[in-house]
Amino acid sequence: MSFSERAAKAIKKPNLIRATKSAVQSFYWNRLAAYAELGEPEVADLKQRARAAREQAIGNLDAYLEQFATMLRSRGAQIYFTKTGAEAAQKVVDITRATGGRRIVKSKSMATEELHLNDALEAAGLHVRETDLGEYIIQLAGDPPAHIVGPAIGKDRYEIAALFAKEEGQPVDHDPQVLLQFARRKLRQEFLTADVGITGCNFAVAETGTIFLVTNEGNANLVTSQPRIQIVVVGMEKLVPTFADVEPLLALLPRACTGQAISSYVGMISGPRLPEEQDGPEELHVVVVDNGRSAIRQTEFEEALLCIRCGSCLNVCPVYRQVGGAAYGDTYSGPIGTVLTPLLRGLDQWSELPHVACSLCGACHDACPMSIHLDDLLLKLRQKTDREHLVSTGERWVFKLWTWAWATPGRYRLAARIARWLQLPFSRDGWIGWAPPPVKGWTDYRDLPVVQAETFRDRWAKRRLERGGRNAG
Amino acid sequence: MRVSFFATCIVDLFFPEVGMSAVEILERQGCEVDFPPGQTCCGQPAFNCGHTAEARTLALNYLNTFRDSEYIVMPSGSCAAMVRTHYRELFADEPELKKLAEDVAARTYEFSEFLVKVLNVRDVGASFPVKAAFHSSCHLTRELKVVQEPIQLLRKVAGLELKELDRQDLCCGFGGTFAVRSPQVSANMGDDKLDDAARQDAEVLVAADMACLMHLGGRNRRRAGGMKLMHLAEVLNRREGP
Amino acid sequence: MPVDLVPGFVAAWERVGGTAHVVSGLPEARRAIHSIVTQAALDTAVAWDSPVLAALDLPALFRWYRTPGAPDGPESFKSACAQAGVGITTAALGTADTGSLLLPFGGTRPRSVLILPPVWIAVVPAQRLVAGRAELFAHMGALAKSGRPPTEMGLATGPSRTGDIEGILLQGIHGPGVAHAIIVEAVDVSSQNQV
Repeated sequence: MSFSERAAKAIKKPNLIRATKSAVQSFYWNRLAAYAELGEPEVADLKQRARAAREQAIGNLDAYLEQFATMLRSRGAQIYFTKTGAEAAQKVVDITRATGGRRIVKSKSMATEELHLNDALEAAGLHVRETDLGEYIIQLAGDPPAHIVGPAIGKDRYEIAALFAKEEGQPVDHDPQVLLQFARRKLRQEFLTADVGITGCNFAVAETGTIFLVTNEGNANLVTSQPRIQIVVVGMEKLVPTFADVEPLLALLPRACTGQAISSYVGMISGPRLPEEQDGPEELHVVVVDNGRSAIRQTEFEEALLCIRCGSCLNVCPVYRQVGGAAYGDTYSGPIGTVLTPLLRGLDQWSELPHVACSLCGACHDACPMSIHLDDLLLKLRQKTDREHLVSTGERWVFKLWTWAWATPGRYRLAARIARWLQLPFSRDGWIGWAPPPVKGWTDYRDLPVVQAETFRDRWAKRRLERGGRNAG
Repeated sequence: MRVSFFATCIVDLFFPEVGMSAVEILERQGCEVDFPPGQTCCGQPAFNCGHTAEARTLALNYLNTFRDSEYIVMPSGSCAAMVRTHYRELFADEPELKKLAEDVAARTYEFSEFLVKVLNVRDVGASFPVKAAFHSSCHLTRELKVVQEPIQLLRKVAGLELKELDRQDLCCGFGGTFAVRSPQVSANMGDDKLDDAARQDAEVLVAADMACLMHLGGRNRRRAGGMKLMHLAEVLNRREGP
Repeated sequence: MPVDLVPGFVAAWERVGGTAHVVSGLPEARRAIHSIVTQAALDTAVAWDSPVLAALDLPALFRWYRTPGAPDGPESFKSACAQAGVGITTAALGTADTGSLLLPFGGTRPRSVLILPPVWIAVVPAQRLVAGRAELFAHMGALAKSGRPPTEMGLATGPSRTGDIEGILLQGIHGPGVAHAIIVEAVDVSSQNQV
């Protein structure tokens, strides 16, 4: 299915679109309020320092990964480097099996979504439960995340109650407090009986080998304190050079996400538990995921690796709010998804996305706390589809012909004359209500003004003649 | 002051009266306006679709047409942004042309920007008793950083009551070929913009880009809406009593 | 210095849905805890082993009160945490800008005390409040870079919360739904600098 088809499907669900718009609108206002509270100079300073730290890390990624791994190993953690998504997922399955684990709890992680890790674990006969409330809801629904930060933002209380009822085998009231208590009770059982906990990683500090986990619900704290085994799945781009580098990043992430000054819980993990400790994992396994990231490094798209998954670009995107996350067809949606999906999954398979899911308005670049030029990257992807002949031959010829016609004023005038002739059967009162392709896309939803009998240049020429005449006279 | 007027293809072909309004305002401000006949299009449609070779061809025509102009003014933030921010990328490997592109870009202005920044005018003597909202088009705002200029000009229009949109940051949905490639999404974006203006009790939605207005106007007409869509130059050229 | 920091912390903590109590000394802190647990009918507690908490004589307030250093129950400390009505910790540091408390977990300071019980009480000497991020990161960085950093450090800011149901802010989804911070202005135990 194409983006256009998925978008058309989403647009047919008014509740979904209403909920999506309302969610991103509040994320957006909240971010502006949080930034306003800090003041523009401080926000600018934080952005500058955060980006510099991330650039430093991406520019020397191999060395920082090595340092990160060495630090963690020195405290008894095990680190694995994986190439493909399938390899990473298999590694998690293998660790779980080798440690005798059967029941898994997970805190929210976009990287594991990207690997389709749950499918791999379930295929291996393991029980896996998402514990972020939004992730829990979409796991029950079998949906991909609708938004990087709010995976279930398209679902209202009634849909959530229906999913919970199906899980429980009896009706569940749609009152939000009832839903909350239901999830707390169900998931608490999962936490207490799980032997493996899987988390993602928000920032990985090379200098100290520290894994940062940021949540509001506290579910990551339960995942890192209760199960016997902890597996951290970390995208290789998540590195920062020093502990101090996290300061501006942690100041920006929650503000850019939800407008909070800080998320309720920030965990900083540096190793498995010590013998004298009562809780925490006995074993800490860290799976570093490449899955296409290396191929982005040192290309014109490298900047995309600076992303910290805050969701700001989704919240300002005029397209995302009209279609929701599912329309993008993969893990990441909105502007960052439109850039990342073709880069991670292959532009040949995803060449449509950059052309149809973006109006090049540039709001994403303005909103991005890392100042990623998402609109430029989108444009570069479009250029790549042209270079690699991934656009239809028909389109290429339309543009070639158009350029030929408009390259000189003579041919341009001729083209205008032809257009006036072509539009004759379709025009009425100066407007066109229906036209064949390639104009049909326009006239399916809007009227099109006709090419004027007298263009601006015609009127200019006439005016000059009149004035010239007057002057002469 | 000599000003070369770049009409842009959309104004030339579809909205010549917008071009005439802009020229009349410039002339009233004492500019000597000419219309270099070699002009066609800035090349943005091809550029935004990734067809850089085609965009380069049209950019070359623009550069050749306007290379000797003192000032180049156009009634479009989007086309001005194309020239000012993207032309140099098209000639990145051709030092001489790149220099020419940067040189011409430095003399290229969007209409409201030129009035305020170069001519230092705010009040052009317009009067138009109407409730109006301004749609700050994306490239005008984000690429040219022209934010206050149109507002300053509109505030000086006698009788005009300026309304603020709830979400002036949102794109109207035009987006070049986006309007044809994702027509339904584009139209819904347009509806949100038109509804926002209606919510503010605006009778006229004003913008500095005819492309946005062609899309919004076409959508407004299709859904038989009551909004009037006008280019900034048309508003500034009005002299209506209350 | 704490004169400015205390109101800052209190405002930030309450803004995120926590309850703050500013008390003059340890006896007052004990009275505050007594009042909290009586009102909420909480009669079971788990707590960190800490000089500040030890000075409060808290066990007498509860039907049972477990710390990692007093392994006198039939079950593991973790399951005591799962059953307790309240978890009591101190904090190494608190920030006035965001109302965040730094919890360096460890042998005497289990993670579960913070996250398993439905109510969390943190007893924080006012001297441990700092202005904000800069001081916080200096402190945490020093811990992280020390030869033996805590296996996990946590920052906790108010109660556990979620907005995943229609964007409505709800407290207590996984961790504590109620979070009390007791700021003690004068702490005169000898080892006040120990967490």
